[in-house]
Amino acid sequence: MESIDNIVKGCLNNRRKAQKQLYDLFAAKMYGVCLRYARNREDAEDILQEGFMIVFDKLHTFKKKGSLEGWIKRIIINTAVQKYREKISNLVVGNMHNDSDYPERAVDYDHIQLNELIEIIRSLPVQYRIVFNMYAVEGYSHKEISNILKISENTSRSNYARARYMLIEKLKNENLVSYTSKALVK
Amino acid sequence: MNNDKQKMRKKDIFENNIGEKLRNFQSQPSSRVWKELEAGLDNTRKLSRQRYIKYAAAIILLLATAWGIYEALVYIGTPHDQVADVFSPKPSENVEISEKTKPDIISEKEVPDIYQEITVSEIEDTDFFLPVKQEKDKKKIAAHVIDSLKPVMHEEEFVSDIFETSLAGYSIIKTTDDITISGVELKQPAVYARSISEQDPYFDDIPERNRWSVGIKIAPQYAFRINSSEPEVLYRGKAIFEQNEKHLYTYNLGIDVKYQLSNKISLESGLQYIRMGQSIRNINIYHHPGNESPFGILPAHVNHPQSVLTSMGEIHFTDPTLYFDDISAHRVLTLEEVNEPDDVLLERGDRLNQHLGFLEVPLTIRYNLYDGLVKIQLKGGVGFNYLVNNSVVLQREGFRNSIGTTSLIRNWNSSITGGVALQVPVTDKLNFYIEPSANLFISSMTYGREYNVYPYGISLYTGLGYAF
Repeated sequence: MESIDNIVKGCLNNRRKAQKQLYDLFAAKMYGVCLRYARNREDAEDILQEGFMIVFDKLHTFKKKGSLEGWIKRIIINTAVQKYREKISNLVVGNMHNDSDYPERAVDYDHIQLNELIEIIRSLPVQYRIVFNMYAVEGYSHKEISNILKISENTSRSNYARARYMLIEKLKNENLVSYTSKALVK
Repeated sequence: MNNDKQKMRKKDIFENNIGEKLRNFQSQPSSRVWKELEAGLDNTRKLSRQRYIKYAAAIILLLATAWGIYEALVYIGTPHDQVADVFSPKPSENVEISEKTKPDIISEKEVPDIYQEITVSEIEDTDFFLPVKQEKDKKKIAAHVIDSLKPVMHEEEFVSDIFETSLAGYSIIKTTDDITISGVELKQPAVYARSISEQDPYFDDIPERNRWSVGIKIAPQYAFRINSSEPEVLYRGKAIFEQNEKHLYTYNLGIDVKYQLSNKISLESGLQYIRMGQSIRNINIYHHPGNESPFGILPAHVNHPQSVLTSMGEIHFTDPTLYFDDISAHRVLTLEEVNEPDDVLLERGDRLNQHLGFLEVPLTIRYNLYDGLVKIQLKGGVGFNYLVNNSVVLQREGFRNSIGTTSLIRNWNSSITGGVALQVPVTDKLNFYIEPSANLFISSMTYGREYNVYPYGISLYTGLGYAF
């Protein structure tokens, strides 16, 4: 197995073998990211393909300050966000809600099957799905999300709250979670 | 404060569980992704090469145009009325007549009296520093010389030699070893010169050249676009557009006005209708007849809730009974819930042709490469375009229906153009011409988007011009 540095060098020289190695190295992880953002597998594969096109095109701009994986992941997330950004802007919710508008229940998350969880996340409306992923999984702040998606911070908070509520409701309806106690908040 | 803590606590619980699980999720994509990625990478290489070719062509065209403009300015700045005085000295003053180099074989009487022999070195000086006043003068002088030499000249090669060396103020005959005059072979080069005056009869006999001409022209055109978007800012991948968008065959037509500035250079303007565009492939189109559209009952004022993203703007539809579905990517945006139509599929993978018609005012410079019976010219210039027609046409077998328009298209644009022109005289006044040409928009056709799209057309003009 060649070192990452050699693979990157090969990619910079447009060598197909190196490009394939880089793709193979990160495809599964990045496809996992794509599946969380996309509405279906076809969309996820499109995002992965577009994202890697950008990776190969912009690899010369990669500074070795952070990890290559982190850099590629950021590109994949950006590609996914770009794909749905127009829709998100067009589907801003009318009423703003805060996290606390929706009851939080203590949930036993340990037994949730990951594949089922992904399926449920994918079934969320696009504006909730994207904000949920960016906030809950990637760790962006609402301010950062509002800048990236060109929506207000309140909309971001509201979408996230709704996403979380819907997610838990769906998990409950599918009998994938059990409640261990009453609501923690409210 | 308590509220913040509660939120933090909520976030911790939720993220530590769900978030952590999701962060580590992996799955293997299908082999299709790499195959298409590989195809896209090949395509990018080709596009990159095309980009360099485009830049090189644009630079050559700009240089040619700049050179043409320079030539025109130099010509305009030259005091033509004084050329004869400044550059056409009388032979006795500036051209030393050699008495000793007259060839022995040729006798004095075989060369008309009006010609005097000069040395080769002198003629070289004269040759290259005396500018021809105008093409017509050159021809008149040559015609005069030929006429004067008729008694002594039979060889056709000699005629072409005269054409080459008849310069302003002088008609010059430069012979070579191969030339025979009146059956007498010249054994060494000899050069004869005489001055031509404005009073020579040929200046009156030959009519003035027509400087103006008007014409009509029409051209079939291959129309497409260059998409130079940066991939990271694309809403959809560049590769998807490249795979699903094709060229169109359209047409251009117009009228032109030309002004002959000098022997070599003419200027052209006029008014043209040029039709740019592209063909969108792999969109399924369903027809849902009746009052209810696939989107439910739409009030008359409500726009069609679907649109199609293309590299050349966004297509909006006018007929609510049509439903669109992308069969290769996800270019169809739908803002409403769709009742999946179970009725007529018009045709799988229909063509949606984006037609964008512009009125163009061109400013073109033409340079004469060859000026014989047939004229060959190089042309290059700029054009200013105004959008006058915007339609999306559904092209099916035997049908062409206008079903929408493209949004985000600039009304004004500019372009560069270049080509070759072949002009054939039909009568004294009427010319037929054929012009293979190319034009390229130099400002992006769309606005408000991340795409930079530059339409281009390759066309073959044919037309008629009337000189006056």
